[in-house]
Amino acid sequence: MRENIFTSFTTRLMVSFLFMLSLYLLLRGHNYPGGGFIGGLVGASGVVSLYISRAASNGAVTRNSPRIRPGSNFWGYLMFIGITMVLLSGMWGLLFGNAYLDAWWYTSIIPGIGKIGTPFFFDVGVYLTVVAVIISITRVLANVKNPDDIYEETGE
Amino acid sequence: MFNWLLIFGPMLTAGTLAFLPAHKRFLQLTTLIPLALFAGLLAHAGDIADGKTFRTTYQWVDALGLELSLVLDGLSFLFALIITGIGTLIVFYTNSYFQKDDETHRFLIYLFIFMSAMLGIVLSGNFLGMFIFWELTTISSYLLIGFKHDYSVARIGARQALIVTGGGGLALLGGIAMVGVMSGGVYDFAALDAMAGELADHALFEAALILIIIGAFTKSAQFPFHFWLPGAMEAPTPASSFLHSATMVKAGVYLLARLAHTFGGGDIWLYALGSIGLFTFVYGAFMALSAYDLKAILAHTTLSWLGVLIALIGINTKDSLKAAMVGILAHALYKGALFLVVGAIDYETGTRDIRKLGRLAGAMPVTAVASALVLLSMAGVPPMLGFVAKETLKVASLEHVPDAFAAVFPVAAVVGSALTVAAATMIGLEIFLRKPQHGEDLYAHEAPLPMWFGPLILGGLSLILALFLHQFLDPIINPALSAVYSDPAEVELYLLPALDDLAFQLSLLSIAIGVVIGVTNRPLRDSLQNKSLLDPTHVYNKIFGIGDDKVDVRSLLGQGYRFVNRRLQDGILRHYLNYVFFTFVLIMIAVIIQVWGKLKLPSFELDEITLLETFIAVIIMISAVATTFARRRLGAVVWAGAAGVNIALLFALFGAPDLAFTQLLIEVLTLIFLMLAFRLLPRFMQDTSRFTTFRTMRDGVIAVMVGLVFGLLALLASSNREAPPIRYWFEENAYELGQGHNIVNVILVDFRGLDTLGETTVLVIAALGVLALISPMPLLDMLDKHFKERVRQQLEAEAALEKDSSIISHIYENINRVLLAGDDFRGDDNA
Repeated sequence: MRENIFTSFTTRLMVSFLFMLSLYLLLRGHNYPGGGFIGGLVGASGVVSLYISRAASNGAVTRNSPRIRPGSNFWGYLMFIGITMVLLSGMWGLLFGNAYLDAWWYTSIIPGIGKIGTPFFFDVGVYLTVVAVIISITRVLANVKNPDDIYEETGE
Repeated sequence: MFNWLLIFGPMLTAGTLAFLPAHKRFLQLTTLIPLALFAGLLAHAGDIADGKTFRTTYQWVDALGLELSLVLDGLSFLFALIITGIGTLIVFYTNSYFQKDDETHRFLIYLFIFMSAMLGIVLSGNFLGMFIFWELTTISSYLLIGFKHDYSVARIGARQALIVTGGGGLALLGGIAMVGVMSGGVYDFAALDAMAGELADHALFEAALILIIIGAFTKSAQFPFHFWLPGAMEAPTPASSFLHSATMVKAGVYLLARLAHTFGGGDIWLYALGSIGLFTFVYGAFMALSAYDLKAILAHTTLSWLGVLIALIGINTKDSLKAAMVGILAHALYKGALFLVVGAIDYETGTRDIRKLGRLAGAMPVTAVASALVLLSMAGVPPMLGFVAKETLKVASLEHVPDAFAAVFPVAAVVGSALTVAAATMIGLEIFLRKPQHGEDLYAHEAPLPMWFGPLILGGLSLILALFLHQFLDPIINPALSAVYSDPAEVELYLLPALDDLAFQLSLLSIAIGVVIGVTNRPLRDSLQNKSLLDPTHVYNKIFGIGDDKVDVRSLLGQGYRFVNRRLQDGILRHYLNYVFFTFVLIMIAVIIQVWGKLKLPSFELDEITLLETFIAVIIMISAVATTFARRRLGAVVWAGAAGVNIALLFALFGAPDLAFTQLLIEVLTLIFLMLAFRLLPRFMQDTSRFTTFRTMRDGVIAVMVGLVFGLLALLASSNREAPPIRYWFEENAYELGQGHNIVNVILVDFRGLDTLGETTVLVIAALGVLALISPMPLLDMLDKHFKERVRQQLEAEAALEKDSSIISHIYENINRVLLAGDDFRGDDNA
């Protein structure tokens, strides 16, 4: 079975674009529409489209088609990193005798990112978690084989 | 400081032991822990005797009035002495009781946990704090009874004890909560005692009292809750000795003694405690004579003696309370020792059947001497401590008894004592002196030192404490009595009564009757044949079932479980949705009807609605209706998605770009997820027989009602606003406090950060759930391989295997449906 070159190519283009868009949404989120959750959804939808492109190629995996390795645990780790970041960003308040999750801001502005504070790391944690969760679920769902396919493979 | 050590010392020991290897040396060293605590307690003896009280407090949960206050007064001191003292001997004994080190190891960990909990009960100065330790003893008792967990009898006994005492614990908690309501959140024992008069006048007083009494009765194995105690004899003997005779079963007695001054005095107290206690006293002692198993005999005499202690507290006079205090100590000494003796005999001969045992006095002389001491004390023969206890009991039964019990109490005291004497005589005769009833003499030799050491010490104490009454016994008993009720000097203990004293004559009478019954015990036992009269076990079995692992479908519990499972938890998601939505609609309608008069009805300004908004709304409505008529899952999802996207448009129109953005993305991702899942499901509409007119109508009605109620709620909410909207506050403060212009984002990451934290966690949990349920890796992969393998085999073989394969493929299909289906978890739909 041959790879569907058209979807494969456009997907690759789209994925990089979507990831950049998602980072942009994440960074500007505190002042304009966007933020960690929305950014994460956009970023994840990029990877999800990789799966669609594979489905459009009828499952044919060739040298040029997007790589998805079902064995790797990367997204699981990322999920963990994200949620840990969310939890830790709240600790800052505790360290200085305030309540958990009390915000702290660095006063000067960092070019390209804007103001940095604990809510920013909180948002980044949300972003990572959302991306990792959606991609993990997609991977699992996409990799389950349909019982009918198994009948076919074994030649019944 | 010492109080804290007392409670948490054993717990720390248990925790440390868990990380140490099961090595004999470590385990033997642990004997020093309770010994040190015992010594520490003795160092306080002088102060306690002077009437001092040691009190330490730590605020635990302010909002509940729960403080961990530890009070060491006379009563606590008496119990703590028993717990640590006998505990020392038990730990020492345990080290040679088990064959394997890791059994000793596990047992000691449980035992130390229990010891902490038990010390916690008797040291807590706070009712609520005491309850926590109370429950902890129930749990550790469960672990100890079920110690030999590969035997089903042990599991059944453990579960029975857990259900009965745990259920009683719930009653007690209810009682404590009511006490809290009555006292206005005061749980401190001393403070409660100070407001005893107010409490007695409160409407909840009777209910609270009855619940507390039920709690105490279950723990102290009073009729009709007594049956768990003989069942608990499956525990290893050191546990039976420690928990089920010397300490834990006395927790109920302790609690009632602690509350006697605060709650005692009313009719309920007198009649409930007096009648049940006396009945259990006679009943338990009688049942002891019918049993074959030595431990069962001891268990019945234990609940019998607990009965008399409770009756004494119920009578609530200075004589009866003093008798109770002496009785607690005397019983702990002789009964704890007797269990240890039985353990040693079991260890040496391999049986506990009283008919097979006999003439062991020659083979086990030291054990026999120790047993003789404690049996004499149990029988109440002078000059043993048991005699002092029985004597004070007789005095209490004669003096100042309320009219209702004036006639019953002395009779019950004599009969019960006589039966106890009979049991003691029987044990001594049948084990050590007479020939076995069945079979030949058993081969045995003397038990190892740790196994006779404990009984000998306890027997010796039973003698010495009685001989040096005023030097040793008074300093322990008197503070306990003054903590409970009255000036101890009014009741004097004595060892040498006058011969013309009525109490002494009654004691002699009961000993005489008892010895006669004890000597002629064989015919009586053979006629009763190990049967239990008035045994509520079958009621228990009817309710909770007789199995040890699975739910027994014939029991009431099993029936209820089956009913709920069939009716409500049928595994079909459509039905769950129906239940949830229908309940929601009913509740909301009830609420709306209740407040209808106070509501402002919504008013419409039709010209405020633009053409674009109308257009979008119509599309949403069309999509929603079309969803229900879709013939395929995918069609339904696409229609629902159309409605969702248009709602996103509405959000955008009303100036909520973040919301619109999120809604749109979620719609897209949901569609993709569902598409990925649907390809694995069987076709939706294949089986049209499921969609009868009735079901369609029913679902339709519920759906329309939900829609109407939600619409109504939205309209009413917008027209009945009372407080100013919170958004103004957010608008003002988002930049000031949150350093951001996007209010939604500031709320998400800052103002309501905790909510977002929770939601993010939920997201992760959901992902883990999906991974665990349908991850292709472990389970499905395995099934996959297994299935391929089977199909290959099937192709190679011939007709005979075809049948096999169809079964396998059927199973495979069902497994897949169970794992993957969002729609239908069950093969057949017969709802």
